[in-house]
Amino acid sequence: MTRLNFRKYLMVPLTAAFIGVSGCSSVQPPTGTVSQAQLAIRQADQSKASQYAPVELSKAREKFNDAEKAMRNEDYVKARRLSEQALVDARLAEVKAESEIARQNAAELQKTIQSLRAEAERGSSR
Amino acid sequence: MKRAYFSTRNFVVTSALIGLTGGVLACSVPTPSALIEARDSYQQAEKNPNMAGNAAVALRDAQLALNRGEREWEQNHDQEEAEHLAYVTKQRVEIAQRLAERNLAEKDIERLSAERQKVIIEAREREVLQSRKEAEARGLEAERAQRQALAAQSEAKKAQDEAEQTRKTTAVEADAARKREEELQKQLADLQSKQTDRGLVLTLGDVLFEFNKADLRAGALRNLYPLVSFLKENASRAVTIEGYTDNVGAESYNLDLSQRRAEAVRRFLLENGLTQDRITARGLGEAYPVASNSTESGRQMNRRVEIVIANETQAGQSGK
Repeated sequence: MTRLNFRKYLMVPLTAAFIGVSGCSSVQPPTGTVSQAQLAIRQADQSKASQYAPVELSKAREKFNDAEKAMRNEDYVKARRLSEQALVDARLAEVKAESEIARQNAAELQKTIQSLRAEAERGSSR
Repeated sequence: MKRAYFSTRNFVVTSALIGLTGGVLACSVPTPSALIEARDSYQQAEKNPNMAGNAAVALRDAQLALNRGEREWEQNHDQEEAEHLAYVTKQRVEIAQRLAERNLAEKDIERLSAERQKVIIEAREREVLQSRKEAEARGLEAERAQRQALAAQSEAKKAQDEAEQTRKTTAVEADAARKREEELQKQLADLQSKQTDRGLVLTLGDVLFEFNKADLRAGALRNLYPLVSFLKENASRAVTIEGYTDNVGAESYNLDLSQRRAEAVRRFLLENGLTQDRITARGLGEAYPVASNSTESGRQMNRRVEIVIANETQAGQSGK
């Protein structure tokens, strides 16, 4: 009888310690974050991230899929983290693509101006 | 025996375990490097002068993630959460940097678009100017061509006028020459002048001479003065005086008489101021009768002196 009681009293702090170590409290399923991540990935697609930031975009997709899997396994901590990361990855892919496109457009304009100027030079020396 | 197994060792183990847990909860473990790197990259991004607008908002999101991460670590020593939030921070920092980059590029695009417009407008203006200049040049060319044409025209007119003038002058001169001839003929009408191819031929008849002599009668002088003034006026004309007789008497006598009569006329002209190298006199005697010697009237006609005044273009021609 003393044996059992001792173990029971042992379990409580152990369990508490374990919970403390794992940081696990009562976790809500992060459905909001998951749908945010999904939205971000779709947005990234539309901004041509698949062309200009394919690595970041595929990373985002992978993490999103893993998040959905974690959701199914009710591992909500994991699901939250993965979807938070998928969200920033997708957003980064999107912004990277937009920046690259803007820089290319600026470079294109620069070239156009140069060739227009060169044409004008030729024209005036006629 | 069984009680002892559980009590001592387990007590030690348990307390160690609790101690460990407590130790974990105490802040003696170093901050995860991911979190430190996250803070570094955030602070770097703060220095970016182009963090404005949406880039600044994105950077604030990064800051929130960083604070959450550092708080999680401080309060719970949750390594996994801290590392997760460190990652989120790093990604959000890069998002902010990229947004700043994009904003710069878009400002460039605005500026360059305006510049392109300017260059296009300038080029068009230059084209307009160029074509205007060319039109002007063409206009000037046309003007010049026109002026040249007019000049050529006036040149042609001038030449025409000059030709006209020359023609008139020649006509006038010809006219004058003709008039002079007429005048001469009028003046010398009494002397029976005749235009031949040798020139103007005046015939001084026998009546103007003393019979059988070479002296000119007063009546002849009257007729010879107009001749003198004519010849003086027309100094270029050469004069040939030829004397003739009828066939009565000796040929040598007649030759001599005709010579003396011709010289008499010559002498008269010289005495009246004409130059002698213009005037030649010779006798031809019975030669070249102009009428029949068988009648007295014929013989009288043959007894003559012919004065040949060369034509204007002829030099002194002697002889027929």
